[in-house]
Amino acid sequence: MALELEITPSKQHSKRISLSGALDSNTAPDLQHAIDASIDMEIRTVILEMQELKFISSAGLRVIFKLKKELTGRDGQLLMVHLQPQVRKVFEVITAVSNMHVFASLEELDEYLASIQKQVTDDNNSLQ
Amino acid sequence: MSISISLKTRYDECDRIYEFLEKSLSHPMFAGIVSDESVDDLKTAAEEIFTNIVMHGYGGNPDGTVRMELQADGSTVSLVISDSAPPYNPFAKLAVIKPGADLSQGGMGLTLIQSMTDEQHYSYENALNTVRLVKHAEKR
Repeated sequence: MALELEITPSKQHSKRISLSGALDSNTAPDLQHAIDASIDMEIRTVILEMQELKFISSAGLRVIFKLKKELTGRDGQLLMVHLQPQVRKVFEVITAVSNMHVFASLEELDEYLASIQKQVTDDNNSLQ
Repeated sequence: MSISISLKTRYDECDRIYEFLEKSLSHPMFAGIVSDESVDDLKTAAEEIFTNIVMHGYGGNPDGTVRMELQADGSTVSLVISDSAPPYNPFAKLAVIKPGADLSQGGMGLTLIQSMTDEQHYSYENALNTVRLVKHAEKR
């Protein structure tokens, strides 16, 4: 299975990466190259859309955790949605999913982002 | 009975591994032993072992050969992976991901292999590294 990627701007300072196929030792460098080319320091939120990602191995996990580390380092966040069975099980085994934001649906993701935005707005208002 | 495949030590052989496991495990001799989930588990473990061999056994040299063989034995399926690299036991280290570990550095492969299979065995004989991964039939 090849890895296909689609990177689209999401809201301000965020991007959505849709993954399709397999993210393994053969294809993980492709994701890393795409991240290096598209995710600059201005990006604070990255959403990984995993609906069409059928397989992941530790090589793919390494790239994802590296991205998470970079985003966290600048107070950003990595969000994942629509994990398929094998991918979900791999994350659960590594027990890191509890430290990752994983959403079952886009509606749940949108609600979370809206709540974060509201929190930022409220914080800004309280400073005035 | 068994089914086998020979692979070159190149990462782009991963697709052949998945295809081999998916097609072979649908053979009647594995009926009642494997589920869709256990097929995924074996694909995961196989990729991790194969990557380990390519990276550490052959140092990325694409001219090596890895053999994978599936065996059915009553209520178990065994995946036997063998190569001719220098002796290396991938299970020699305890697979422990410490709290707070920097997972961007790796170190997750062995944990996945041990979680996705019920038994893991290693031997070095006749100049061959041999890893045997065993999945037990799921209890109903």
